Amino acid sequence: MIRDEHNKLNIKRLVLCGILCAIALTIFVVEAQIPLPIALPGIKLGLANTVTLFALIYLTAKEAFAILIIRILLGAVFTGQPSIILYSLSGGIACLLFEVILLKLLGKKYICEISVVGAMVHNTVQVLCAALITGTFTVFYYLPLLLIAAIITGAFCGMCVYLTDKKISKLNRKGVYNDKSD
Amino acid sequence: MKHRFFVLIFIIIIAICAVITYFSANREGGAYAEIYSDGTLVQTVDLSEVSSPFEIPVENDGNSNTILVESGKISVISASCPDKLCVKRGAITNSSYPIVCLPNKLVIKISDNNTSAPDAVSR
Repeated sequence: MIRDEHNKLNIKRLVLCGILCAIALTIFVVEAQIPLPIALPGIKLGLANTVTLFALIYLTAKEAFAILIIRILLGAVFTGQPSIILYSLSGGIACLLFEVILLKLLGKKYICEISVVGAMVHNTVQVLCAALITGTFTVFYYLPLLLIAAIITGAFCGMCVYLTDKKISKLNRKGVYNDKSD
Repeated sequence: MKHRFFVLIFIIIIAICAVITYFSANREGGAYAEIYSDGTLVQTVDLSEVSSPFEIPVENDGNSNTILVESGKISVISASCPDKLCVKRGAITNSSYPIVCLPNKLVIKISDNNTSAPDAVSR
């Protein structure tokens, strides 16, 4: 979508991707400073998913995927814990997959519920990854607590995107979000 | 209309998880602590028979943790992992939640009085 059918570069969309990457990284680094009582690597509040959802609605899944990968790789480097890349990547990609499928099925109106399901999938896959690496099933003890946290933060992210979308679609006449510009 | 359906499902999930958490966090103190390194049982410690505190060093591929065993509880006091989540965890006295050091592949759990075998060990 950055390049149109004549392979001409759409600068506005490219810049939007860059800005969203920066926002996602900032949220990621700031929320990484919040200590949580759960001893699993890479466990965070997951508020950076707001940006992924926004990209899913206003850009295509490919851009959302690119922003996700950049956020995970650079975020792991910026917070000084490269070891969490595997857990974050597996959770993030599974989450994005489910969100894309659900968005196609349910539509933009249910972005809040999609966000909650995505957060639950993310945490579950992260715990599965941890279980595979430690070789025991005891990490599953954290799963009920993580699911509750996932539902709450997922609902928060979804509400943010839903309210932003409601306001933006009122102003959206000749902006970057539809193809009627330039 | 359909929004309420989803909200109901999520509330049910929260309720189920809250019930599971409540029941699993209030177990009685167990007698044996099991130390797993890289998925294999390394040592079993009888916590009720500890007269004076002692330390157990655990090595795994160059990574080390030091476990402190006291009467009735067990904790990790030093670790070579970068995040030190296992040290911050503190001591555990019952089988509700284990101590996990993911970078060093160390799991310490206290076995329930009911089950004597580990849940599962897979590679």
